[in-house]
Amino acid sequence: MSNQLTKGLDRGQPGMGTPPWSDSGRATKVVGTGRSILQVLSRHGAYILLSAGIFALPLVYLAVQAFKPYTEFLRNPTGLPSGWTATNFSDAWQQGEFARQLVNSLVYASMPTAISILLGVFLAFPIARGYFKQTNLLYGLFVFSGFLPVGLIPLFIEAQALGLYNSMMGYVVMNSLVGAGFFFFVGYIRTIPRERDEAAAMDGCGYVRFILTIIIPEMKPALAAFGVFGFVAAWNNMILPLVMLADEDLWPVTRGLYSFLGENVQNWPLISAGIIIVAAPVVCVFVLAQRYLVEGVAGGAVAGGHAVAAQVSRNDG
Amino acid sequence: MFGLYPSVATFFYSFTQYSGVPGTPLNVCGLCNYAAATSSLLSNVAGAIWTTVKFAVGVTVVQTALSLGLALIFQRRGRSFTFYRAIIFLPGILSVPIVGGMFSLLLDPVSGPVGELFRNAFGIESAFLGSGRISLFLIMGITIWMGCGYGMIIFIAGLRAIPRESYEAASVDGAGRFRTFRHITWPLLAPATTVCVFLTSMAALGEFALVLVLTEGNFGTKTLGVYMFTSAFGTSSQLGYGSMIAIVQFFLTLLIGGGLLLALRRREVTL
Amino acid sequence: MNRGMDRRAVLRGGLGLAAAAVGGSSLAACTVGEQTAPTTKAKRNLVIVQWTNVPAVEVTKKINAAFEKENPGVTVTMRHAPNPNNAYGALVNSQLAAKSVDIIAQFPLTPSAFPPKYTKQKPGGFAALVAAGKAVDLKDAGFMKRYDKSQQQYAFGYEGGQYALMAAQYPAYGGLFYKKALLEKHNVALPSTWDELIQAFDTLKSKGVTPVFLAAKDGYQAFIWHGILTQTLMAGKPAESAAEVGAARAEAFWQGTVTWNDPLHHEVAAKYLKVMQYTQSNASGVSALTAPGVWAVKEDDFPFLIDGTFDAATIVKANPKLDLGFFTMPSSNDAAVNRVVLNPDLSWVVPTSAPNKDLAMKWLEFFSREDNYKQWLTATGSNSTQPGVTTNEVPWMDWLNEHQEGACLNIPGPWIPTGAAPEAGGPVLGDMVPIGKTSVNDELRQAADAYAKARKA
Repeated sequence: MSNQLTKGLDRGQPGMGTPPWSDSGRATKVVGTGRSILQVLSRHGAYILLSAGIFALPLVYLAVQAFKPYTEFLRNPTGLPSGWTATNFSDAWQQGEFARQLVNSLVYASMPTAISILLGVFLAFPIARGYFKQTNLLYGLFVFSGFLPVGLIPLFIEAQALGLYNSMMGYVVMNSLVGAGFFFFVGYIRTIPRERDEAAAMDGCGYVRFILTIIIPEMKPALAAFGVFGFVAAWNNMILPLVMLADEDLWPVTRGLYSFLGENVQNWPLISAGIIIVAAPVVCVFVLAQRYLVEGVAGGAVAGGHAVAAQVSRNDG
Repeated sequence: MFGLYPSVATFFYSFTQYSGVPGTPLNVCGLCNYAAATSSLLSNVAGAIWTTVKFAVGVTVVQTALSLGLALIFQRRGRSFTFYRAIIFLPGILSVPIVGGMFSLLLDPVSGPVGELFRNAFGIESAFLGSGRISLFLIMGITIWMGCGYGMIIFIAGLRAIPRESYEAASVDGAGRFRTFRHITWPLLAPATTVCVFLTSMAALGEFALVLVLTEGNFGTKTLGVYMFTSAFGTSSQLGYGSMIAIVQFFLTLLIGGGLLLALRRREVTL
Repeated sequence: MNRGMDRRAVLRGGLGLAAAAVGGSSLAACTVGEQTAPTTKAKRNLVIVQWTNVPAVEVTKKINAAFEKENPGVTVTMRHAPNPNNAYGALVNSQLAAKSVDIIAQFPLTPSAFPPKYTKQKPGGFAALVAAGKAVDLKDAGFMKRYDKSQQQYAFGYEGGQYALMAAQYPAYGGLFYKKALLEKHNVALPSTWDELIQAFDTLKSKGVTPVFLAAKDGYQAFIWHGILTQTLMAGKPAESAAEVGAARAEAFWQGTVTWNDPLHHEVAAKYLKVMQYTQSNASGVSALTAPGVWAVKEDDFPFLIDGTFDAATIVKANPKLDLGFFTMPSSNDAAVNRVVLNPDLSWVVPTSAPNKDLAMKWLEFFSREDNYKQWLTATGSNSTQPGVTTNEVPWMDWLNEHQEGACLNIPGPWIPTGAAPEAGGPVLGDMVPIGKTSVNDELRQAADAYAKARKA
């Protein structure tokens, strides 16, 4: 997997252009001046060891196991595969029925994130401009409510009463109204100078157009960071789809993976293959949006993303 | 709307002997669960609180320190560093059942690679997750492994926000690396530290899913969250009693979190 | 004991053969339904929920298909989720709340799930559903006559009613898988008394072999404890009296005339400790999910594995060439005491909220027919609960088939008040030596104290 990952990154990078913070020019020097790989390696050996050796090693180990047949894994659980085989991947793909589920997951993870961002920005703007005083209190309340235990069955009964149970749209609506984004956008919008509003108003720019053409581009890093965290958290949610989506046709890929894990508890090579299939899209999204993360964090979006993640993982038991 | 109502329901259930199975009576019983908890306070609830606090303090301190260290190393701009940061962040985007299963496999003393390594390289035998001595520390380590990426990004954002002039002033004064860090970087990182410490400690106080997957709360790893979960769900469980523990957990979180936030904010001001 | 059951319940989910793709049954079901839909009868859909266990889910789908064929216009939908992390519990509760499920698979409650009124305890979990009258009483259903009444009452009996059909039971407590060829190689015969057992262990140990493999991370040492305990408590009692013996013991516990600190429990603990000496070091780090496969491929070591027969399919799959056997550990030198201990397992419950109660009863009748039930037993590898039906011919079952006579169900534990310390349910084996640090004397005393305290509270 490390190989695939590196490749994915290499492919992804040129399209991403220069990172927005590379104005100092130091960055481009490191890779851009065409030093040999060996030089880079010797210079970066310690970094690679630290990042890959500690944080990726367990995953690499898992990925290597995915290329072994089950019987070989049992006899030789720690070594390299004697003959690399991809059958686990094809088996997992077929057995897990991941194809349709991946499409569902894409809907469940991207739509609520997009909706809650849009809603959040439209609501956050007037508040950031001071039409509402108690934001700090609300903000605090919100953060702490993330740590209140969520009763799964009351949530279910509520969803059922509102007709959101066992439907794709219902699931999207439920996840769109989490509201976390809203509070964190408030802080970010405050950093946008007020003069912009006035200038736009002078130009006869309507509210909706103003938000869409001025504010949203201005908030790009925050939105991207928030989007990534929201996407990842929604993608990884296992328990909520279990309760809210009964029909197999509606399952997201994590629900499928959950059952897949249950069906193949001992067959680690097969499970590894399944995990890699399910995790790959998240890794891709993350790699693509990574460059916005650091900037977005400055606007407090990480807290928002984190709170969403915390709230979602509450249900993840 | 989808957060508040179910939480209020939990609060209500904590005053009942409700089994949690739909269609069964609520059996409102006032403070019975709280009374039961007080009578078994020393052995059960207090033990779980102590484990939770140990876990949260360990994770918060180590994760914050490591995140800061990683941020200082990997803050540089450039594609290769973007890549390293992505790798470090990677564990954070995996879900708990996956990470739990993975480490159960890695730390299996008979068939796992870690056991083999320790046996061959150091001649040490250990039950790892099944050892009452190190189990909690291993789970702390795995939690930190998952969370470091978040912390690192927060600190990098903090580092980027420090104006270049501050460093220039320091170098004019002839301050060394350590003194620059001590007197410039660290104080100016206070807001990032606040965010990092607060979020990490809150998440650590509520942790249960990972513990459940790894040890089911055995071998000295029964945190309040795990106790809540095992009391609320299962064949002979009572949601009412579990809800009571959830409420205790909530107030513990509120107390520690609120205190922490106050202290951190004050520190930001004085620094 | 509830705790033991609980853990087993968690682990049981999904153990078994990794087989063909799951899912698609609802699709297949729909086409059957649509073909017959044009007739005058309205289309009806029976919903069954079950925890993820591949062989069981697969064979139930086969039975469903046959049921649809026999009942035109009816479709059957199966829903399943794995047991760990309470995923299955969440699914069941949501389906119950939606009042959309007709048949629910459940683990048996055992009689101790219903404490008498004077204890002031309320039944928890699924027992609450039964106590609230929200499960259909199957007592008078014709198909229940096929099953052993005392076993059925044990699993889901409440105040004379019968609230589920217990379809499977497994020998687990005291159960040991063994490698026939390895025992032969070391000239060790299968022990039939306690002394022979210890002698066999000693012989194997002297030859450099670790006799017993144990997954103690998930508490499988409880199988040893409960095996010895049940055989000891049931000594000289008829097999069908397990529920009565258990009820009397629970009562005595509540009155304080029996405690965990009794000589009987010390005797059980001493034997338990003896067997534990022969398990591998680091057993407490080994997970029950990896143990059967790892054990199966190590042909030259670990002649015995502590496990229930529900893992047989996993062992056979991991190493099809292994000459496998299974027997229940003897805990006494009196052969009559050394009986097979059965653990009740999957049971079908019809909730009163079921939208198709008549269809659900029809399905249970269909399931109980000899050919269908036999097919189901063979696929799941469980022991029959219908006296008239036996499974057979499975090579590793040879010992079991000879010793089925006198097999008894495990003994239900005492009533545990909500919020009691874990020790109240019996010594916590994970804390007690050799897995933990607490001595046997201390652990039993603490257990007795904890129960006394919980009872008074």
